[in-house]
Amino acid sequence: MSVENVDARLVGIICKAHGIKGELIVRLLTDYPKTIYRGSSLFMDEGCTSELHVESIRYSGSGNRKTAIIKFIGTITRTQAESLKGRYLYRKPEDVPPLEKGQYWSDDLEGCMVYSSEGIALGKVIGLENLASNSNIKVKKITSDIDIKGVSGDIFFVPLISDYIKHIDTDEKKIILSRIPEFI
Amino acid sequence: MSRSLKKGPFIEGKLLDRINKLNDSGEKKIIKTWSRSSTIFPEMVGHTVAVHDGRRHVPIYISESMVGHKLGEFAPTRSIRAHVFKGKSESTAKVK
Repeated sequence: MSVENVDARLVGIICKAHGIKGELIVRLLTDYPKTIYRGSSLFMDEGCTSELHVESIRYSGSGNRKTAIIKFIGTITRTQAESLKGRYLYRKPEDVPPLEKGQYWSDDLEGCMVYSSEGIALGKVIGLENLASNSNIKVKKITSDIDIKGVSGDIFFVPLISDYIKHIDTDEKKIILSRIPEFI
Repeated sequence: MSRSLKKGPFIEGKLLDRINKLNDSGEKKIIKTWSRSSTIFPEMVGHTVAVHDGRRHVPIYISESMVGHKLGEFAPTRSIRAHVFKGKSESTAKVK
């Protein structure tokens, strides 16, 4: 497999060494932390060339600060563990858990063009916010001429709800709204 | 000290009026509100309310499990600043 074809996903970042037995504190950046277990393969580069095998993992932290204490096979001393500090951990696309229906990777949504149901380009997704209730996409208007009721300025939010979202195509970077959100 | 049961849960009058109006007409529009202290009523389920977080209005989709909570609980006023990491992360978003 050539390096260019790998579409590795970032799982976490190694923060620091833990203890004297080669364990590492890893800040997890995945929504699926429980899919990393003993024997899992992680990589230290996006090209998935330098492989590490998980020997043991235990979880700590909660909310936005999810962390895990991971020990990799071959890392047995603190000095070895300290040499990995600051490295990113990636996972091969085939090891990534499959998405449910209506679920999308946040990175894939960013940069998508947003169209109305009539095919009029409204703007471009510049961000995404995940709330406890729902997710919202942050859209920057393509031109300031586009008038959306109750929206002042160039940026507006569209809730990721089936009432407003008709179709999402992450390959073509296209989001079609079933209706434009009107604020009253 | 808890609120008197005699009064019932608090909701801004104007907000409830707007919800009732939308329920009568069957329309779906996002209602802007500054009233973070309003309680979520069962009538609001299925509607989207844009709650002010001090800077902008954040659209919140009301589901059944949110009834009884306050609107402000779902629109955080503080944003978490974090480093931007290189590469595609495994964070997801779901269309409800």
